[in-house]
Amino acid sequence: MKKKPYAHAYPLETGAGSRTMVLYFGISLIIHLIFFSSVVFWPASAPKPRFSPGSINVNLVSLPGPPSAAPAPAAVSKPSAKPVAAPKKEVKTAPIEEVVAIPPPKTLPEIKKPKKTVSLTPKPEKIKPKKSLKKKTQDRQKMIDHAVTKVKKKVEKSETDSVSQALDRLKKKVEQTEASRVQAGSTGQAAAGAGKGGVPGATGSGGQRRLELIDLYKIEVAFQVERNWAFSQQLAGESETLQVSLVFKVMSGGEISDIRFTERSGNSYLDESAYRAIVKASPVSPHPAGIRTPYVTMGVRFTPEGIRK
Amino acid sequence: MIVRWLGCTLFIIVANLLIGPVFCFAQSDKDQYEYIDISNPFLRKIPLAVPLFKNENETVEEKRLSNSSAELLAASLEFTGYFKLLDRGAFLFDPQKDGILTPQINFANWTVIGAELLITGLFKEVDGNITMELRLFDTFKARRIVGKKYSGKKAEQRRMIHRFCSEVIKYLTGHRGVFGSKIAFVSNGSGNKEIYTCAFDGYNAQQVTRNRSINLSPAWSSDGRYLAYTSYKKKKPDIFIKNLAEMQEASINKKGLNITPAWVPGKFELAATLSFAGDQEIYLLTGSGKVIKRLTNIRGIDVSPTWSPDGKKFAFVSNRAGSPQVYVQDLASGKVRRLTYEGSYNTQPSWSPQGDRIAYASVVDGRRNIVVMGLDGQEPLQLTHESGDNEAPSWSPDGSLIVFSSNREGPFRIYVMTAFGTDQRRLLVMTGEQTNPKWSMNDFNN
Repeated sequence: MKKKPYAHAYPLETGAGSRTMVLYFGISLIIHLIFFSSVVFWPASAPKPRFSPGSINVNLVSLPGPPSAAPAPAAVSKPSAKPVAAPKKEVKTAPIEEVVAIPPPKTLPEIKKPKKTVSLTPKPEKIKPKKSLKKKTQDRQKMIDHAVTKVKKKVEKSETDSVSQALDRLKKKVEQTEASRVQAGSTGQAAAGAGKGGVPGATGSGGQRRLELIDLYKIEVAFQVERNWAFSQQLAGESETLQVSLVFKVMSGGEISDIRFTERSGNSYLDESAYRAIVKASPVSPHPAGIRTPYVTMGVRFTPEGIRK
Repeated sequence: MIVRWLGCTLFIIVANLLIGPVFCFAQSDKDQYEYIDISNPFLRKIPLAVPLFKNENETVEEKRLSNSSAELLAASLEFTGYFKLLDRGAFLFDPQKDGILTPQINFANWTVIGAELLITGLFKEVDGNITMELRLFDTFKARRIVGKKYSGKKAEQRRMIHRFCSEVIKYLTGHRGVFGSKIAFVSNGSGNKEIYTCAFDGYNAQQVTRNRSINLSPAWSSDGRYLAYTSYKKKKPDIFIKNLAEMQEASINKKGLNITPAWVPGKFELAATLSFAGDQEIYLLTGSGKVIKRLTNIRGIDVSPTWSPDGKKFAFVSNRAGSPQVYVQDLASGKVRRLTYEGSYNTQPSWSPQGDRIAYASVVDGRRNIVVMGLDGQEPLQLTHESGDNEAPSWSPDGSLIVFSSNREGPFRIYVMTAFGTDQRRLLVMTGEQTNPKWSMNDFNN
């Protein structure tokens, strides 16, 4: 008699056993729910910084004119006329794509000019001890003058080099994106426009190239850091395979702050020399006019491998 | 109802299983920064600032000594090849007015000119006694690393400065550097080839032998107390072992040649080439000249032994394969391995104090040049180029420098370079020709 009211409510089972089963099932369900919802929602709150703030609100305009980057604006400056409000919107709609799209900057390792004169390298053409020694022993002042002019030349050379290389790289990138766009079936008009030097396209697909300015700026900052890097391999010992990575923020005025290690090499001398290089480089050249974020976050990786090559 | 619950739960579980990993991967993709590679240091040395010292009494004599001390400190540290000495003209610092202690130093004034290390000094001279307080600072961390006070007679000035240099190098590298070491060499300035010694930086060259014959191949014992050399003073080449403090001599004067001595590290034993048995072979001898055993046994010439730092192996030159080449032999097992294959004339090996490399003189395009080779068979590295003949390399006790002789400026003279071949410079100027340099392994300052 008593079973009847329960029986219709629980058609699959009957009796007191089913009630406890339901209880346990409920508890289990709640725990599962909590667990899985935590998996779903908890991590979502963390990775906000993934969208690096520097990549939003970027308009591709000419570089402001830091002396070392002099040739750069000439090539990129054409688009400067067009930073209208419209592109901004587009960027916001697809910021993730942009962040992912930055190709790894490959230019820096190629800046090899300073090597020749520093001559840790063993190769015969590079070391000319006879010359330098004679000067050293015979006329110190002359030698110093010579060294100074050498260094000056070197600086000029490597500066222009870095910039021209950066430009080459950008051009390549533009070509690549262009090629992919053409393949994707976009109009020939846009292709022609971009070929001239990376004009942000009229369509949303141009967003990729809007990052070039910030890229260029980052490369310039990295170069300024490199110019401040003093590192004696003799002191560090076997360090060819080591690398140390740091991340820092560049404020709009060029001041560097929040330097932190993201990867240490295990060689404290290398780590410290890298840290010092960044501190010494500060302030770097200020943000170009097109960068509207309060700071640019960037990473550099120091690898002494290039020394003996 | 329970079916609906089940269905609902199942859906959530399946959904979570599908979606969960996506978020997990998103989470693990933490590498949010683009890294720009930097692999070319602009300066391959440490920028170091050594301003003049602060004088306590400011007398003329004190100023003179103080300035010469600062100069010596700067020059000695520069000698190591680790440092780039910054120009004093760029310093925003007046030693007499500004403080020399941590809280008084404005480190920004130093970091702005690029100095990573700074040494300040306080100097006092009273009645021929001098007192120095020397401090090494890390300018970027704005803290003192080393601080030492030295006092003694005027004549101790060099030693005090070099003691402090040792402290600085010890902080940076873990070993005490070269500042207490000496270099022995052969010079014919007096008309005969005699053995001389000088400090690591070429200072205070002193004649050791005065026998008006030919003296060659000096070799320091590891404690620096004995100097072995080959001399023709008895009309044929014999080895003499000189106790430098007591000026006593033992000799190895067996029949035939007795040449190229090399001390076993840490022992009163040496290896040398003797030919009393007819063939030139390398023998192990006691420090007083008694034969312990024969080390090489093969037809042909075996000369110029040099020991590994642990004394378990030695390298030597042999012409057993037709041309002079460097071989390495294990002392216990007697196993021999040929080290050099490039070039047809490789001689004068010198085993690095770290034990991983051997420097030797090799004829390249008709000229003798210094080459360094790893024992692991890595590529030989030519350190001297297009600068006359370069020969007789010898490592500094810390393995950071190599001394050698070269005729790049005409007569053979002694030169020093870093172990990478950079910073080649002449060590000293003397009349005549200087050859056969040998760096001592010990610290004479202690």
